[in-house]
Parts: sequence; C-alpha cells; structure tokens
Amino acid sequence: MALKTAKEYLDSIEKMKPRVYCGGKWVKNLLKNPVTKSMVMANSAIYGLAEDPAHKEVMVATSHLTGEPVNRNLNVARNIHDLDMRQEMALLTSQTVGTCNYRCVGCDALNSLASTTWEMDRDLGTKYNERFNKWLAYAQANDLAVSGAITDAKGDRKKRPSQQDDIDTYVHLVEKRDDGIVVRGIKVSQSGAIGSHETLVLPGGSLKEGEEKFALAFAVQNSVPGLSYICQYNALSAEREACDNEDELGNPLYGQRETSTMYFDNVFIPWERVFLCGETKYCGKMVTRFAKAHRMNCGGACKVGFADLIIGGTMMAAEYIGVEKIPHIQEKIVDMVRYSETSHACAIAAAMRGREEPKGSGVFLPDDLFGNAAKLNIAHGFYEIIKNAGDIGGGLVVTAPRMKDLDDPEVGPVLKKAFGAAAPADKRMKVAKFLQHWTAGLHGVGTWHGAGAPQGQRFMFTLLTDFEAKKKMAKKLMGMKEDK
Amino acid sequence: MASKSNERGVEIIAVSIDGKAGGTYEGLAGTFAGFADSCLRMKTLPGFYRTDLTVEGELKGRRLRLALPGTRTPAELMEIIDTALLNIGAFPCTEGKADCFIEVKSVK
Repeated sequence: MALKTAKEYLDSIEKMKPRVYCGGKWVKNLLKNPVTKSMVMANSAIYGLAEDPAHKEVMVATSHLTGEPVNRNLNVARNIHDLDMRQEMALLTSQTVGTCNYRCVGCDALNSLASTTWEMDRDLGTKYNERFNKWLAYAQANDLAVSGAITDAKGDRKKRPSQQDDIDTYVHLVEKRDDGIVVRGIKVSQSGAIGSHETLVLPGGSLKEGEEKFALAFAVQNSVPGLSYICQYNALSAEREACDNEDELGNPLYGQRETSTMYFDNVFIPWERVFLCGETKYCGKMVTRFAKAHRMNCGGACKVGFADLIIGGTMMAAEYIGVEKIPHIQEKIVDMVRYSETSHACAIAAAMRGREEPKGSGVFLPDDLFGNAAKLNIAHGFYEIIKNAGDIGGGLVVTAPRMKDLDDPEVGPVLKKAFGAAAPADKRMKVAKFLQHWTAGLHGVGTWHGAGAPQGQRFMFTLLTDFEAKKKMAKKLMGMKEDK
Repeated sequence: MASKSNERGVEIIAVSIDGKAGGTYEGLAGTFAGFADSCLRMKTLPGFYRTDLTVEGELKGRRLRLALPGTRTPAELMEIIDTALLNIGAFPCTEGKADCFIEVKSVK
C-alpha cells in the first residue's frame, strides 16, 4: 500500500493508544475527545487531499527509493519542481483545513535528515543514510503520518544543555546498548504528534564538543512505553470541550493548532531508527537545513493559506454590513493581500532558487535567504492581516453572543434585530466567530514563533547577506575610492 | 549490534497464542527489539500502561515468551498482542518467513 485513504488513516488511529493527557485527564481514544479529535480530523483531511485527482500534482510524488507514488509529505525533494510543489502543498493544506498540516514538520525534518545523513556517511563512513532510507521506505510503504519534534524545553537560556540544573530540559542519551539507545528529556510545542504514527526527533540547535549526549536524531513510534504527550490547553480547548455543537466554533471540524509537550521517560530506540548519535558537528547543519525548508513552507505558504481564509472572511464581513465599496476598507483588504502574496512570492523564489545540498546527495533544499525572508515577512505581516480583519470585522468579532442564542425564543428575536444588516444576523455572527478564531486565537503568536522566532531569521540575514559587496557597489556608483 | 533484517530493512514477527499460530506481522528492523524492551524493561506492552496491564517475559535469542496476567481466551490474547504490535509500528502481513517469534500465554 503506497497511499492511505483518509478512512484508512482514521482506522489506523482508532487502534493507536498513545499516552495523551489533555485538559486534566488522560485521553483513552483520540477520536472520542473533542480537542484531540480535531487534530486527527485535520490529518485525515490531508490524507483525503491526496485521494483527489485535482490535487494529485501537488499531493503525490514519486519515491526516489522505490519509484512508487507516495504522499508528498513523505517525499525527499530531488529537484526544483519538488520544492515548488512542496510549498504549494503547504498553501493548499492550510487553505483546506485552516490549521496545521500536521505532517508538515515531519516532511521538512526528513528532508534535512536525507541531506545530513548522506553528508555524515560521506565524511565519517557511518551508515546513517542507509538506515534512514530504510526507515523512509517503510514509512512511505505504509503512508505513515510523521510529525517532527525539534524544540527542546531548553531551561535556563544562559546555560548550555549540560549545565542545566535538570538536563531533562533537553532530550539526551541515557544509555547505549547493543540493540539501540535509551533516551530521556522533553520536547515542547510539537504540532500534531499525538495523532501521528511516528515522530522524527532532531537536535534543537547547534551543539559543541563535549555535548555529545544531546546530539541525537531518531524516529519514534507514537505509542512506545515511556513516551507521554501533555496537550496544550487554552480558552479554545475549553470552548470546544464545553460546546454541544461544534458547528458554532470558529473552525468547526479542524479546530485550532494542537500541540503537545513530549516527555521521553527512558524510551528505547532501536539502532535502525537512530540517524545521529553523538556527532555534534552535524547538529547545526541538521537544524539549519530543517529550518530553511520549514521557513519556506511554514512562513511563505502555510500562513499564506491562512491569510487567504482570513481575507475571504473579512470581505464577507464587509459585505454583510454594506461597507465593501468604501475606499479605506478596500485599501485595508489590498494591504492584507500585499502582506500575504509577498510572502508567497518569497516562498516561490526560495523553491526556484533551491539547490542540491550537499552536492552529490541528490537532495534539494530551498534558498536560505528567500526562505528566511518569507518567514520574517509573514511574522510581521500576519499581525497586520489579523489587525485589519479585526478592524473591518468590527467589535462583533469579540462581542458576539453564541450562535445558538439566535434560536432562543426570548433573546433570539432581539439578536436577529441587533445583528441583521445587509445580511441576516446568523451569517454575520458566523463570520464574526470565524474571524474571532483568527484574530483572538493562537495564530498570531503561532505564526511569530513557528519555524523559529523572527530573531532567528534576522540572524540568518546577517549571515547570508554580503554587506561588503553592497558597500562596494554603492562606492563605485558614488565614485568613491576603496579604502586602502 | 543491529538486529537481523532483510534487504528491505524489515523483520517478520510470528505470534503464537498458547502454542497455536496467531498471526504474522511486518515491522521495520528493530521493531522486535523495541517490543521486547517494552515487555522486559518497561513491564508493559506498547499502547498499554503499567496501570492497565503488567507483563512478564523471557527473551531467548529472537524468541520472546510472554505471560499476561488474568484468565483470557486465545482470541482476547491475540487482540491485545495485535494492538500492542500496531502500536509499535508492526502491521499484519501474509508474505515472508518469520525471523522473530512472540509466544503468549495467560497466567492466573
């Protein structure tokens, strides 16, 4: 089986029993808890896209290992077209579910692993790439949902991993055995790990000599003993749990972006699933390659899909109160499009200027500068987009009563009178709730930090930009002589 | 030392319940080692937790003998092992020669 259907994915998750804690209780069945179910339903919709002939070009690729069709979420980019279709997938999935494609981080992690394990084998004579390819072929053959875990809990930021009072704030090696390794520690903010079949774990950043125990990359099945997930919990989680009709929520089927804290309590990882163990020199490369892929996709395509939804909702809100032709409203909507499309343009440029890295590996990664530009631009632009959505949507976006109250015999007629405008009250309130989801929910901060906070992109700009060359150009045009 | 695997990097696991064939599963090489570690070191099955189900086991080479507490029918035991194997990433298969073995019985 090369491609799972949405139903086959749901059936497989029904049988999975990860140790998940959400909102004060242990979740026995992900599909029976309204919060965890929304994450699983989003993932199933992503599987469904690959079944649709209209989206085949974007969602289905050809495995370089077997020549079989595989879900693009499990594909290693081998050329520019692959990179372009990868970012188009991020756009399409966001437009479709209005939340994470929970296979996205795993996809970018496996591309980084394909590249870096190849380089390690070339330089060190290890067998990591061979091992990784066997794991990938197995994941592709079973069309597994694979998430990615990168961010360690990190503890006191002034201290290196080994200097922490509690080194569990970083995932680390406990024991090396003949058949594998034992690991413990904590990864945080892991999107969709609970409803994935496996998670790829990468180091959270560059490491130095002496920090070998933190230099780990591996694949872990989601229900292995010792691995627990503590889900995020917030007002939107509580609302979803409390409501008796999910249709009233801002994103009824797929919810907010669901993440969890992953706790590895002496988890055994067989060697066949270990792709880096102790090689500190390659951790920085592994993370940087992940980041350059993820910044193109997460920054310049995924959030653009969100922006498309917000812009659509905002246009409707304007039409429903009859202000869609007012010049300053149109100007604000145009600004929303400008922020969004310039980020997408950066993502397309990152794909088009992508290149094989390292040479000879066959793995294509996006252009670093354009990918970082995509992410940095949308981090700031997204706040502008949701600001304008709130501006045009009006106070109703955060002051609307429940949709259900429209049916109340006493207050319903009052609400219909109050909120009926150029469209009936139910339409206005539905759009207001939709915009509330975006403007007063998780996505502002999520967009800011997802794929790394903007300070990381600024740092990359300073590394990647040849400022001396720019000065030289300016001097030449000014007729200024070079300093001796 | 990595566990035995074939060219595709997978291993075939045969399950028997009270001495009778129960099912055959395919997983990535190392799956059997993970399953055995779960039973022997963590004292539980993948997808189950110590509070739900404690297991005792004995490993000899590539053969794992498991004892599950409580009186259970062979069908119930097979359902538990099926869930546990799925939860460690092994899927039912019909082809290939088994190179790992799990023998299960229930004990009062």
